[in-house]
Amino acid sequence: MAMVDCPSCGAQVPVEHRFCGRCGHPMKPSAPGPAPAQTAFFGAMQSVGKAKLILIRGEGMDGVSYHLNAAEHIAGRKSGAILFPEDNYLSPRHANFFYEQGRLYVRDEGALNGVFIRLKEPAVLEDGDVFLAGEELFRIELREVVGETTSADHTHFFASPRPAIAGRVVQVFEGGRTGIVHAPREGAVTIGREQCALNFPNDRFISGRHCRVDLATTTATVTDLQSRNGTYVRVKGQRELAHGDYLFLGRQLLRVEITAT
Amino acid sequence: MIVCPNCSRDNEDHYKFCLGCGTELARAPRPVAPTVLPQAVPIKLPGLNPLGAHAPAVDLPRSVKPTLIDASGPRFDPEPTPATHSVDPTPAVDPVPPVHDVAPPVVLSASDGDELPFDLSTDGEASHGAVAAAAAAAALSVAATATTEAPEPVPAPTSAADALPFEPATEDGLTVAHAPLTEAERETAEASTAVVGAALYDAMVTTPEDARLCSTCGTAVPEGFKFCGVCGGRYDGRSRAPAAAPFVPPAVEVTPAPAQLVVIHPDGSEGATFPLNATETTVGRAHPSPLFADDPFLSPRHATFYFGKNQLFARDEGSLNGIFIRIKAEVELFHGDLFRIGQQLLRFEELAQVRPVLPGAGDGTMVMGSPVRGAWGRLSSVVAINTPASVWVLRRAEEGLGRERGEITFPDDGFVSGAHCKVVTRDGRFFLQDTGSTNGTYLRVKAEAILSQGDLVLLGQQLFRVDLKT
Repeated sequence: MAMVDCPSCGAQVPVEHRFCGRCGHPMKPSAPGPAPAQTAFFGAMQSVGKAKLILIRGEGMDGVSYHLNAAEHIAGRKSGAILFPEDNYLSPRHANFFYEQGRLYVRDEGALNGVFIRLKEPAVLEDGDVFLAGEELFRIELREVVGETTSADHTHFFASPRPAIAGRVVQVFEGGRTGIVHAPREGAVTIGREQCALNFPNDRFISGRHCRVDLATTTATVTDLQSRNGTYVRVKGQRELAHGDYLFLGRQLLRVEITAT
Repeated sequence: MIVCPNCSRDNEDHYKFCLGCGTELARAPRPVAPTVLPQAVPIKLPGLNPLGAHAPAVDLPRSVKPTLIDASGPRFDPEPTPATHSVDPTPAVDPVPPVHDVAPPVVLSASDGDELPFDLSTDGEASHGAVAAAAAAAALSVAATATTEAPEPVPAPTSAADALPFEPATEDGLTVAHAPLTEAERETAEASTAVVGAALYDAMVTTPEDARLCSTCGTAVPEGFKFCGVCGGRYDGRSRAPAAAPFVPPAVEVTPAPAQLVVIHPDGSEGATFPLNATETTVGRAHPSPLFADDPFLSPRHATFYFGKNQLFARDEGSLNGIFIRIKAEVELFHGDLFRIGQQLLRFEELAQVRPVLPGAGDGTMVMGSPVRGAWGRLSSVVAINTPASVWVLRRAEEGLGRERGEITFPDDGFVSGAHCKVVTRDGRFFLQDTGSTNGTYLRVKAEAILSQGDLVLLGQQLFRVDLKT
């Protein structure tokens, strides 16, 4: 059977097919004429390629590799070369892995839950930024808590004392409810399984001392404390990827392997 | 902001006592004068925290653990700074013997036993011993129902032993005046505690010939006690005197009122009374009585007290700060309920009824986040109108709140007991339990509530005891 390479993902597609069976990319009808006299590949996997993603933890397909041999590769729940139809935390079109001047990038395609990348060094976060430690998702809030203390009829509100706080670390529950709101006096907040400022004894994926957040006036710095599973921050816009980077897309954990430069 | 002269901490303008160390603060210019109050009228704020300061200790001695005597650790500075005295001279503070400056009433929180996370003591060695002795005496007086004079064996100066639980030396009503005891003191104290135990108390109160009856609620008051262990009323030396004369200014009353509210001062003593007539009485800042007109934390029309079906009801008139009633043992909690412990105003929420703040995408994508893992509720600290600050997640069947112990702690709040209360879930319902706190747990009344004899009711910043005269 005559085969052609898919322009999107590089897979071998029978000439009579109108769409690539791997990534769904529409195939141009091949020009009539004799088959080109060239040696065919046994398969796209044989090519060295430039980079691949390895599924570390996901839905029963752990260890699967996604070769990034085309110019761009869409990951999502409904469309793209990297499909995870069962993961409801992925947007239909979630992220794009693409090359620009020979470098591999990931871009958030406006996904609800975004793309998270494992910290290799402390990251500076701003108000509203989120990060993952173990299974816990947190949001940094640096805005001041504002609220009226006097009603329209000039009655004073008898409230809890309001200590000066450095900022807030807010736990976000699945489904979007707010969980713990930790508002420390001092800027450093440790997060882990035990003996930290915020403890999650039932989180099997969090380390004893997992990460630390240093809250300052306009920014916060999150530092991974050599945790076993790492601390992840959400990618804003697009970001270059390096060999050995780990990414969370929804529940899917992927490792980036750059095989050629 | 008022800067504390003792620990330099910033405090809100309306605070009367420092949040950090409890020192009384010089009166700051009143924040935003309520329109109905002429600026010239001095506000009589009974205390930074009525809950913390006012609540008479109604616990019976069996709630006192002997271990409280062992309580050692840092304490609040029992000596008010000079600034204190210039501000509010009302409760007399004897400046001479330092022992007088120790606040015995509230030593129940010594039963919490734990060290405070901060040591604010500034006194030197000299007063140290006196403090320790007074603490021992105080602990004993608590053991004997919070109202006794210290028993003989206490090696405390008479002045301290005489100090009534409700007459703390520091007018700030700070609760924790305990100090390390010497070995000898500890032994004596333990021995005494054992003697003045629950059994003895029962024996004392049931002796018929001793029948000294509380003039307020009729409970027998043991010999030597100056306050009723049930309602906190001062024993006036007469057997079941019909409640009355000394409490009610006769001029106020035309016909005998069927009930009255008695102001409970921050030091636990009783203040003015306010009669509740047989029909209904609406109180608030708009009320002519200075008892209410001077409290900027009362709404103009705050609450209505009325009789129906032979019971006294309190109805919230849509007030800002509401009516809080001290809970007894356990009450059911519902989504949105507000309660107070120490200086904290807390809001309970059932997690299932909390609205998600992050919107979904509408394309079937679910919002990612931490697993809920059986969490069933949230508690928020309310720092302004409808404004939560800290939020705690309730996950275990019982979540304890306290200054030191429990899952949710308020280490900076000296009015919260070591283990203060619990929020509990069972059979899909939710409950609030007071776990023997010194200053009590107060639940906000929704719409209205029935009041019983001796109920402690918080209106604005003032605490009242309900006296029913039938």
